[in-house]
Amino acid sequence: MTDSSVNNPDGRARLLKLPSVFLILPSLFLSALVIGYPIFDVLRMSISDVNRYGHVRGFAGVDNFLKIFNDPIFLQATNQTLIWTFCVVGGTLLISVPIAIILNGNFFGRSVARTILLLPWAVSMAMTAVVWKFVVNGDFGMLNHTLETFGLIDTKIPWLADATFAFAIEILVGILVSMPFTVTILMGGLSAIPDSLYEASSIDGASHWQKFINITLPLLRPFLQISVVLNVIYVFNSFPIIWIMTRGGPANKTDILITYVYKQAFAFGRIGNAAAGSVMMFAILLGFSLLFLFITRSPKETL
Amino acid sequence: MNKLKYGSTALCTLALSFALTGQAMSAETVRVRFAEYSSNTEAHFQEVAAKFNASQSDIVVEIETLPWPEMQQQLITDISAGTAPDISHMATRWMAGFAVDGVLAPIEGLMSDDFADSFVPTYLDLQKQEGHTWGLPIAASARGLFVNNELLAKAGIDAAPSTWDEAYDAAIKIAALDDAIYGIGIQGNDLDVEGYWFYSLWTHGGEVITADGKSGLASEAAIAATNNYVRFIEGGATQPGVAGSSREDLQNLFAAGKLGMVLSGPWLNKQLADEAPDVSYGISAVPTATEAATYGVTDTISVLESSEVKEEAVAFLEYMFNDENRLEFGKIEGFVPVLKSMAAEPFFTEDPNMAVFLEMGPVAKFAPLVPNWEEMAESLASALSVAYSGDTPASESLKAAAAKMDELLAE
Repeated sequence: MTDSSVNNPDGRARLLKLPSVFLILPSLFLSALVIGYPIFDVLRMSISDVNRYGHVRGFAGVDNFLKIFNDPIFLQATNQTLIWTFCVVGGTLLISVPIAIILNGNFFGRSVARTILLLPWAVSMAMTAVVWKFVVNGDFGMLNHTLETFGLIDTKIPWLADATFAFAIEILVGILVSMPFTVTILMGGLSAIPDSLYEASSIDGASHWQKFINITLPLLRPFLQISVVLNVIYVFNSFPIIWIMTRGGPANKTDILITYVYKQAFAFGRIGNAAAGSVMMFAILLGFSLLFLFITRSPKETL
Repeated sequence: MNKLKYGSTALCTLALSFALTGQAMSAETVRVRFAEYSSNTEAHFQEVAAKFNASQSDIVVEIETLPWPEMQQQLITDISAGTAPDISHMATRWMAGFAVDGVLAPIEGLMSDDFADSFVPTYLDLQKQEGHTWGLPIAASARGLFVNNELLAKAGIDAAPSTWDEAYDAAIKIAALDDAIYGIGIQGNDLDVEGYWFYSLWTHGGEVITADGKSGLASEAAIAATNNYVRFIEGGATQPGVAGSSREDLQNLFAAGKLGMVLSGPWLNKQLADEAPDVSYGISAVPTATEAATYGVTDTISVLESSEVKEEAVAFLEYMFNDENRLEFGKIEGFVPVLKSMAAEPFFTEDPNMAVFLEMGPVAKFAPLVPNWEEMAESLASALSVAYSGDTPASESLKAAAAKMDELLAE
């Protein structure tokens, strides 16, 4: 575009007359390609007979889906995925709300506290998992050592050898790594609540709890919704913590769908099953997101 | 100006390299991928490749290395994308699946008879299936019983146990010494759980696949073999939390002097020399129940079918497998030799901790080379971890693994 066309009213008018949709077409096309192609390819593989190198040999109909539904470990992993997602997201929200409220207040050293809280976010999830694996190691781990020093246990506990302990520890690590993101979203929400509301309620004699229930929570609601949806999607698909700490063991009792799909694809060479599993995960998440948005749709009222 | 300057420099360099190497333009590039056994692996193969490249001008070898846990996935991804290397290192147990899929080049027609004859037949035969040789054995190991001499002496035991009953007796006595000392290590988690079970299976006369091609995982011998481990666990003679212990965990415990006995391979010599020079230990044969056996494992190096420089690739392999390079490899990684010529090498025969693995060679058994083995191994490992935890009797949990295996064998 030359200077003359910008300054020339006719030229500018001509430009504005172009339907604006043409201007975003290239990026729309690119997004559709980048986002859509993998989804299309997974769908295609899920109904195809695929060899382990990803080459499609023919149409398989619903065979791949039947195979995974007949696999008890798939059903077990689905169940465990739901527990994992519910506990991690629920736990994250339960502790993130008070933390966000505290960090939103004014106190000495607030910026240091905020930085510390964000640190887990800056460390790669894989490294976090490796470090925690060392911490809970039965023989050389810091956890047992600490508990022994305080006289809380007298024999070392092999934490990761027991599926219940192992899964609980993995959930705690999951909460730890999901917290910074959630707190950040919630703090954004809190800072948008006008102080005048709290001041007014103080004049009316509201207690802290009443302020929390009647002002903070309702106004935080859209931010809570965003963090629930985003966290569910992240946590549901989160691979490194479980893979690094237990690889789904002992006896598949900590397997979640993503580790199941990974094993099918890369250890067993069953790409078709893996694709079918991925489609199921996609469907579950899509179903959840739609249902959640429907249930929590904003009431048609304004404050 | 600049363009001209760079252009003329490039031309000069080109002319110079022509003059120096003569045939530089016709050199074929061979890409070779290795998995890392230790931090020394890459340096070793880079050096072998550098020597090879300097020795002739027709072939240029390029080395890539990857950690073991990434090898299989990366190779599969590369094969599907058409970017596989010309030569790749792999676990022999993956080779069977790759061979069936037609992605490996049969190597027998590419190598000379003399070269093929230089290998210990047991190890080379493992690379053969359906009349073809799909690769060369690059590393081999057998397993033995590592015993901590000091703990054994403290518990009043004179000699390393040779039967499982003696091992049980010894493990109980050692475990009674101190709360932080355990009699014997048993592996229940991570890679190769099934391998640790094979020691017991084979010494109880069991088989992974029976003569009629069915799973032997739930046979009487297999149940007896599992119960053999369960008795150590229930008797309190093992490290706590067997279901969570990986091979590395056991080796670390042994190196820390906390474990009376552990079954492992020659690489543990290397770890102990590096990390725990104070631990006084010996190695003896795997304890027996009804027969002597040990678990043999080989790794394979194969030429890929997609390679366009197969002959050049084999030329490098022949160089890589010369005596000098193999002795060096044996020294840095501690595996048993795969070449006949190495079997008399003092490095292997004079060190009792190395010689014991050579002596066990004749009774070595191998994991079955069948497609889908990874899937069978996973369900076996899962069944074992259930049996070790004491939740379900071995006879019951192994049934599921055997059924799964039969189903996969029939595919």
